[in-house]
Amino acid sequence: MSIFLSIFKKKIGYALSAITSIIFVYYGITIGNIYGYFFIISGLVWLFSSIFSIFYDTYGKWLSPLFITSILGMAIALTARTYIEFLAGWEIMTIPAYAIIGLNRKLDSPAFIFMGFGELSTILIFAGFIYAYTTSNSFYFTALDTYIPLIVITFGFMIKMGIFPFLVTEWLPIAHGNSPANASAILSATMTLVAAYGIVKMMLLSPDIPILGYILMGIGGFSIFFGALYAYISEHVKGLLAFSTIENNGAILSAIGVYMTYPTKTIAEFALDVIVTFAFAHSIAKTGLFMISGTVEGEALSKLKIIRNKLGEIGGILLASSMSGLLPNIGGVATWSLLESLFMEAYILHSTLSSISIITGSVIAMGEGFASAAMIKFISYTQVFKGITGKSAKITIFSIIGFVILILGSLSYLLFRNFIYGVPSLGIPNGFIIISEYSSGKIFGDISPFYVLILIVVFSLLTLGIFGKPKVRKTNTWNNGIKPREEYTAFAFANNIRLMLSKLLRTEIKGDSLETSTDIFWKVMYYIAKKYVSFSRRLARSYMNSSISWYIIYMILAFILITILVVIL
Amino acid sequence: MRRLIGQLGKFCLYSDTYFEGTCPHIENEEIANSPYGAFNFTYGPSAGGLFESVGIDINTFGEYIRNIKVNPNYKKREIRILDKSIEDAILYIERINAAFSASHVISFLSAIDKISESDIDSDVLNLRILQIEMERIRNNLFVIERLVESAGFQVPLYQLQYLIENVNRKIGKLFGHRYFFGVNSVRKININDPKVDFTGIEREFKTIYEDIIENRIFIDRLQGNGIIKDERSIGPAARAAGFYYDARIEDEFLPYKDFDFKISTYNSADAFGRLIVRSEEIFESLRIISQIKVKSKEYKIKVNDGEGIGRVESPSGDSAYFVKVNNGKVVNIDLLSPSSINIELFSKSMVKNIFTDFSFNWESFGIWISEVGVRFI
Amino acid sequence: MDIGSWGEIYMNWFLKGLKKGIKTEKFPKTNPIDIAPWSTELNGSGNVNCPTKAIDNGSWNSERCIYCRRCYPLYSPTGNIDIFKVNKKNNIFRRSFYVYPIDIGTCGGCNLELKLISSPQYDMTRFGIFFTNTPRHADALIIMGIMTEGMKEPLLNAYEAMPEPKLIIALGVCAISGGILGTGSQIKPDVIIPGCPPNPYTILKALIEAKGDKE
Repeated sequence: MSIFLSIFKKKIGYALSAITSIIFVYYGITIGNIYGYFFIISGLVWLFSSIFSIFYDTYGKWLSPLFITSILGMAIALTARTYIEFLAGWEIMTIPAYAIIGLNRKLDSPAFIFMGFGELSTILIFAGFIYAYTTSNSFYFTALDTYIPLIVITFGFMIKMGIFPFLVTEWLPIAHGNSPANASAILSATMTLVAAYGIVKMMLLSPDIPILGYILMGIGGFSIFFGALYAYISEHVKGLLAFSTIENNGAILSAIGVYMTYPTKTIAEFALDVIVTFAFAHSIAKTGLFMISGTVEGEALSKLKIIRNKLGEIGGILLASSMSGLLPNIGGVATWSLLESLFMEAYILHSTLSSISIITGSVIAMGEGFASAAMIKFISYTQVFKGITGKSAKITIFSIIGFVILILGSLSYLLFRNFIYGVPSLGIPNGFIIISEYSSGKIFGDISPFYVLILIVVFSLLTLGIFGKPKVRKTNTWNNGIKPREEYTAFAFANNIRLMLSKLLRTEIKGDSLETSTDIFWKVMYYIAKKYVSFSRRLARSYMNSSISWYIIYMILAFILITILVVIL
Repeated sequence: MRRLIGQLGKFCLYSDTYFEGTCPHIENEEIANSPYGAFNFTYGPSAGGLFESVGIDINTFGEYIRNIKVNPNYKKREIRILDKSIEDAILYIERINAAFSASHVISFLSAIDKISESDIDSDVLNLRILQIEMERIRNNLFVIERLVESAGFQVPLYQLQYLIENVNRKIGKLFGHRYFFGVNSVRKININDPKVDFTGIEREFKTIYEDIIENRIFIDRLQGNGIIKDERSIGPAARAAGFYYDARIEDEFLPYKDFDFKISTYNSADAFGRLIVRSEEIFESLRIISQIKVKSKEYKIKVNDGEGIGRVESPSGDSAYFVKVNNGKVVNIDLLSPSSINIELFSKSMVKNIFTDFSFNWESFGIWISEVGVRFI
Repeated sequence: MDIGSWGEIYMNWFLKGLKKGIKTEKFPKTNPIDIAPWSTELNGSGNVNCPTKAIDNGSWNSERCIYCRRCYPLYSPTGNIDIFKVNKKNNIFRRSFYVYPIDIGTCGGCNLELKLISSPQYDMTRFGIFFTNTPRHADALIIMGIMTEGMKEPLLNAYEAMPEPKLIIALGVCAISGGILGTGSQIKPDVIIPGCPPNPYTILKALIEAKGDKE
């Protein structure tokens, strides 16, 4: 109903969708199983983006109905109990998104690319579902006894998450980068969440297949590295965030991979909690970050028009630090737990296969380094150092999200139900430490986000109490003796990596510009696609050769084929 | 073989002659306007890494240098030299640049001698060669010390500083002043103590030199850095590129042909080549010095009215003065300093390198801003 | 290259350094060893035509002398290097004295002589004297050269960028009185080191006294 209303009056539509999101969150809390978390996450994201959209939407009449319809599609997909419902929801989710992207720019290619890859993933999912149907004879999601649907469907969902091996790290940033900020938020945060949800659902219903787990771990690790690297060198304010989405989806995929390899029951349970935590951390923080990108004017990081205030700075820093994997935010918990699970697996397995998890862990650590740098770059150039001070409702909203992230960090104990501990002798009562166990009773490591927060606050207050308010003297900048004239651009910030990894990024310095090709894989893919196109053209020409006699032969052949099929079946 | 040196006042100076008019201008390829992400990075005028005050604007999009503009006019001084007597003018010329003081004064005096009547005693000319070569030794050691300092190479840094101080003390003992102030005048050359011995410098420098060029890490910072192979280059920069350019063999005025020495060249045209050339020159200069007998000398000279051009090979290249005398007073004077040409070469050679290459390249040219930012009034 | 030969190379430099021995002189505890005469105190009598009016009524004014030697032989150098004046000093710098040199219009001579006090013969760091690259960390500002138009603003900015307590040191006759080429620095100095250029012995002794060490 909110869809119809939104066509007439945008703000009411958004408000209604916000209210329904709250209902969705409640539903998630009460449902009790692991899927409930996904509902909670999605509900929160939709709530925040709808409220944000009230202030943000200055586009035409088309944005709000499409926005809300896409949310509807996602909700249907998440609550689907049959394959058909899921697919319906999937399509309802995708088509308005395509429309948003297309109408935003009146550019066709980002939308087409989005649509093309969306349909490719739909085909794979559809094929997987058909196979599942044929083996289980039911349209409902039930336990299966073959893992083939899982494999096919996983690859289908992976495309939607923009993961590396499909050599298509480019399409997601193009698509997400070309839509308005509120739509980008729901695309990045929840559309990819639905994909993760899909894989998890199928995974829990299918038998074990460890080899797929290792493959996913490796792919996930690689995506983290490359997603983070491209995020760091990106100059597009939304493109940077889109690459960061790829990076985080890679992390979720790695966690899924750990679960699939099922080293011990404890580690597998831990891995499931990792998936949920990462989903929380990424979706909510990414929503906030996209809102930041919606509060600034312009798209090139080095040339933005910004309004900012103290609240925005704090909120922005909280969001960015969560995405960089720092405690006490939930992002820190997520990164820690992912690395713990990988290293625990390596420890347990004691075989050559453990090298895969160690290598993945190391690659992830490298990627996190780039992710931190990318977040620092993003937040410095959008909220912390530049721009005019001013008030804005949009800023308030994402700052609220920033604080939510902080609180979630302290609440993350709830996500790790079976893994909490306490050391009363140190003053930490039971329930405030998250531990990683690899089999019952054997502890590998631990952290305590709530206590980190407490200690930060306590020590700050202590310092303030002992030393008093800091004495501040305002003075002119020393710039070699003359007035400061220049500003360090965002482009220059990341240029050291563009030059150092010039072979990997194909950096080219031309007379008046420096360019990198952000996807060497895309060139390969494009090459294959071109070859395929020319092959199919030749093939088509060979048999569709405008000769009546051949067409008659085709018709006769088709007739015979259909007759045979009918007879057999 | 004639080569073009540069613009000296209203003349264009060549290695064997000069013409009135402006030198043929080479069009600098204009770098396009600032592309996306590029900005101007300020270095100087007052910064710890720069020896003198000079404003350097580096256009970059991060790490990579697209273009450099050197502004030597922050410490521009006006030298009130016109209508002063020749003796008074020498006071000013000495203090244009202390490091090249002997080269400046002697090239000024060469210009004066060209419009005078008497023949100059060969002993006096030998003493002039002595001063220039001692200055060359000290300056080349200083350039190498700056290169080693940029690399953070502490042991040779202090060894070279020790050597430079020793050379300075020897100069101070021989001539009474470490930078040749008050040594040259129109009638005599002041000697303080003729018994000063320069042996020992060669052995000491040889050990340091051979050690630093064996160090792979240090050499890596210099090789491929600041490559410039330009026909209009001068001094060690030209000789490092393989050009056999040296005013000592081109200008007949000072009797270098009486001495046994050779011009050092190299073939790499980068900062490393300039290091090698300067080091070899130290050995050659020591050889020249060992062939000169020092004794104080007075001589008679009658200066007419007229104009003349004097040129010497200063430690960083050709240094030339155009002087016009009327009634014993200097009425017109122009200076072609080697640093003004070296700044152009440096700017061209710095493009396409990165920030960390900057200080090595800058020091390897031996640029002194104090001789560029002067105006004679 | 294996670790062994890398180790050899570094040991090599260490041993080379050791082999050379200690070259630092015991100045200022002992007298200076080798001084260029025309950078020390001048003494004599009589009337001469000094181009900078440094000799007036038989007395020599160190703050104006550019050592052109025109007063010789009526006036001649004595070899005494104590020609500096410390009008203000601060004991707080006794153990650590960071100086920031600023060149406002030199001929390069003062820059060179100042740099040489870090050479092994003088070794300024044994007194706790160091050079710093920014005035924000500096205790003293060493001004060299005549006042030029272009450096007025940087000089003022450097002065304001320095935190209290600070000392202003004028190095060389150009910074003190302008010498023969111009006028001295705009900022009134606390420590005056005359010379054209001043001898490193003079500079070192002046800095030691300025930071509160009495030798």
